[in-house]
Amino acid sequence: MAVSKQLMDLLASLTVVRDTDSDATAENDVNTGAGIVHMLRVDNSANLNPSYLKIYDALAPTVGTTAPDFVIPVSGGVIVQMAIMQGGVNLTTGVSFATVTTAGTAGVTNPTNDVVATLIVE
Amino acid sequence: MAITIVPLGLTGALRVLVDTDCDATAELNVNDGAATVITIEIDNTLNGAISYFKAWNNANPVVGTTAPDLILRVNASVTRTFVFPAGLSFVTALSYACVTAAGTAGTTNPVSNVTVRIVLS
Repeated sequence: MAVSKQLMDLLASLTVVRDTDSDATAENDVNTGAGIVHMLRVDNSANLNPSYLKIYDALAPTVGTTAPDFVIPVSGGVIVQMAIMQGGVNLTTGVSFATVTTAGTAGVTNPTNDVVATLIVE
Repeated sequence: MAITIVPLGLTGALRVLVDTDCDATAELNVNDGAATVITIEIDNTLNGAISYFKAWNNANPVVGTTAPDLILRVNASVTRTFVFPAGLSFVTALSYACVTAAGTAGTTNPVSNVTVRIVLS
């Protein structure tokens, strides 16, 4: 786990949350409460196999059991970026995330190599 | 199920898929094989509850059982467009559905129509 947060210092209170080794250990409540997810970038270039970023509207999800609100697939060797137009998606409890090797809800296996997950959250 | 697919008439075989009632009955293999998704617009304005768009890299998933590869949440009463600048690849097939539960489980239709527009190639 190597998470950094950088306030973007704009009129809107946007924060860049960057985890340089996103894995099956969830990063919990990264916005200290509710948050709006605007963009994300998942760098799976270090891996040969797919990884899945999972985002939860929860303060402390149980990875592999708690149903994720977002699942973003990233093929081996690639980077996926996603922008959410019209104001992002408001997660009313908390913003937590993890990255595993299985789609859907299940899965507690770390990617073999580091996955860098970056979220822009308000 | 009310799907129309319209070619954009551009170089690069882009098409727009419009589904005016995305629900728990999956639309299967909508691109007749592999697909690259550029944008997904999900109109949940008719619903007073969250809806979830789920997509599978699979020609015949079982909604509520087959683990979705992509899950996008749209809150009540809003439209959101999800943009993938470099595209999002479905190397086997693209199938999708809309339900009211997060994660893998869930077979309940949204109460009112959810309209989905997908730009893909």
